[in-house]
Amino acid sequence: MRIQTVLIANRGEIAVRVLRTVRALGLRSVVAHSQADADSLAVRLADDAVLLGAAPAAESYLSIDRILDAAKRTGADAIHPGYGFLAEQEAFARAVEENGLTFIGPSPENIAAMGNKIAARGSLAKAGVEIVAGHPDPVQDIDTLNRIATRVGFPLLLKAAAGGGGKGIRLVRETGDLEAAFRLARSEAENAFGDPTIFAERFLEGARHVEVQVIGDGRGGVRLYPERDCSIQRRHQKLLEESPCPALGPKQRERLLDAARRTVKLSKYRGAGTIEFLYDGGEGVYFLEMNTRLQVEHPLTEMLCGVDLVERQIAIAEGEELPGEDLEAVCVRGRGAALQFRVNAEDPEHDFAPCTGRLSGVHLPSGPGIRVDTAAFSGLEITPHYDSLLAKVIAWGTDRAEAVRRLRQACREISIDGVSTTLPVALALLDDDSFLKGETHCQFLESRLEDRDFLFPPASSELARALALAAAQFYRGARLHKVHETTRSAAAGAGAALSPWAQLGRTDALGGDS
Amino acid sequence: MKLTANFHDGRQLEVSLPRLSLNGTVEAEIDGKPVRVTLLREDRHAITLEVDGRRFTFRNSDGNSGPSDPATLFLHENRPYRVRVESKLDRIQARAHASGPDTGLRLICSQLPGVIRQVFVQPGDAVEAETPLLTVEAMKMENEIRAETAGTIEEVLVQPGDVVAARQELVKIRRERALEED
Repeated sequence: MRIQTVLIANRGEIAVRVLRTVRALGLRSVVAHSQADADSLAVRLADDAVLLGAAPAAESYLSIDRILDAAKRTGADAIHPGYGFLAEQEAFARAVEENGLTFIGPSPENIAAMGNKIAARGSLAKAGVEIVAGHPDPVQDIDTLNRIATRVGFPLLLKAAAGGGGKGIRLVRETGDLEAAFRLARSEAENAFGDPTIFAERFLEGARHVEVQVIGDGRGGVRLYPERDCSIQRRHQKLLEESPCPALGPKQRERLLDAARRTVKLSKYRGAGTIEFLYDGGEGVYFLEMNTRLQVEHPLTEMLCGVDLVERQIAIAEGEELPGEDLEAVCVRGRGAALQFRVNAEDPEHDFAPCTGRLSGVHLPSGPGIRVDTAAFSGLEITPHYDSLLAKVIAWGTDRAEAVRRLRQACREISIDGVSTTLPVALALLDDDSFLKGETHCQFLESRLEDRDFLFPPASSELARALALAAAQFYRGARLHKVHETTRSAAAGAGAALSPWAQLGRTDALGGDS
Repeated sequence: MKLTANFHDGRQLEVSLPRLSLNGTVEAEIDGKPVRVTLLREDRHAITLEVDGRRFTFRNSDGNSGPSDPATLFLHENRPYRVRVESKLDRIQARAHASGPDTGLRLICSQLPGVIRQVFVQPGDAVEAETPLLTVEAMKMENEIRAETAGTIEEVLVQPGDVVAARQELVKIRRERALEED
């Protein structure tokens, strides 16, 4: 069956990303959105848009009924869930199919099998895939947890069974912290996934997070793509990802890809998915979890392989088969290397607190090997209702060094004002010896962030002089602004919006005095 | 005007900057040494200066979270630098404020915008330092807000479900006794 109209039940950069492919394929795109996103880029670019409800996700992006209703009203015959929200909710996938629509994603059975992280670990262990040490059952109460901690050992990770994407994870290093961590983990899991069930896993210190992008045809057919390394994380949230993994030897790569191949075949997985592993830097490759959706870092694979993963998703949804049995036949070759940095609206100086505000001065970089996935534009209001991702800056090069140089230039060039961003972290990493050598692991970023000089390097003497002058000019403007504030009338409303620099400029132009 | 620019690593530069107008060049002084400065651009986003023949563009950036910082944040090609500029008069005023009175009442404010999820205390409760007071959910992460000092809960200004802004007051704690530190 050929799909004609795709309803995109998501927002932000991924909604834009998906609709671009939908339209490039000559299909009709409909964006279902909340009130807060009524004037978003996705809504502006789509062929049609439907208001789901008020800003809170529960009344919009998480409402199965409203989304299905939107699909009916706009004549959509397929739904793309994006990532997050309902993308990995079995009930949603089922409801879509029961309503006669095509779900551009895995089957409800696939989601169920992998969505419950406890069950996934169990079935993969049975299939002979090595998993991270942990406890096979949900943690019922604090007493059970104490017993598990004694057996499995510290450090321990508490994870939401219905979770994923790095959310609902708490690291516990000692017994004294277990109770508070358990309490918070359950609360977070309940709020984020509607299920407070927690399981416990051993925390492998110094390991790398390595994942494999897969496409399955639902009949055992599979395609595997070069692995991605997502070790640069803060509180289990990825910040900078790259492909391929710079530290993986050929033997480990083969084991990784073969474990992925067996997982897809066994589960008769349909659609795009990612299988995540921990690589201990030596011989060990351990299954972590499988995400039954397109991931935030999927552009890396697209740049490396010249593939459009959304197009692949749609083709699979229309019934395309993937022939080929052995590893050689099902592995897709990549070329060169790629890195992606996530620009989030977070303040790196204040514990990465999320920021809200109106964006201004938005300038996006470009050039050879540069791709920017974003829904940001000057004038966009960032609200506290959704995640903090503003833009993804991706750089490809013929080798890692070239990709790094290009990403560095792009991250120096990009500008987004109005909110604090995580960009200082990118520049710090792209200047770090260990990172440049490809020697990183999952705790690397957090340990670097303990040193204030990492994000706030001392300025060179030349730069310091220029900064002192700019700061002096700024200071003068700010002081003038204060003085004039008390003497001018409300007609100075426009003046109040100017920065102290501009304020000073105006005053000078009007013949004012300092 | 003579100013002192303070950097976070303790470095200080004495700046003497004559009035600068757009496209004008002046002879400034930094630590007594002459510096030629031209103002090339100045608007609400950025300032571009040419300093001894080299161009620099700085964007002023002050995030809207966390307590206000007397040092201003400047971005140079997205690398952050905090600079605190003060005049002689500022230094005199700062010393006067440092010896102000201590009321004994402590305000606990939200560090970030979000939604109140759980409130653990009510007026009259005795708390210790680090006692969890409430949780704020922002960007799908739940953050525990704890008491900074021991004391008695005077007032709880929010309830579960409330949407709060950064720096919004959440809880008032009356300290047991006036402490000499802060």
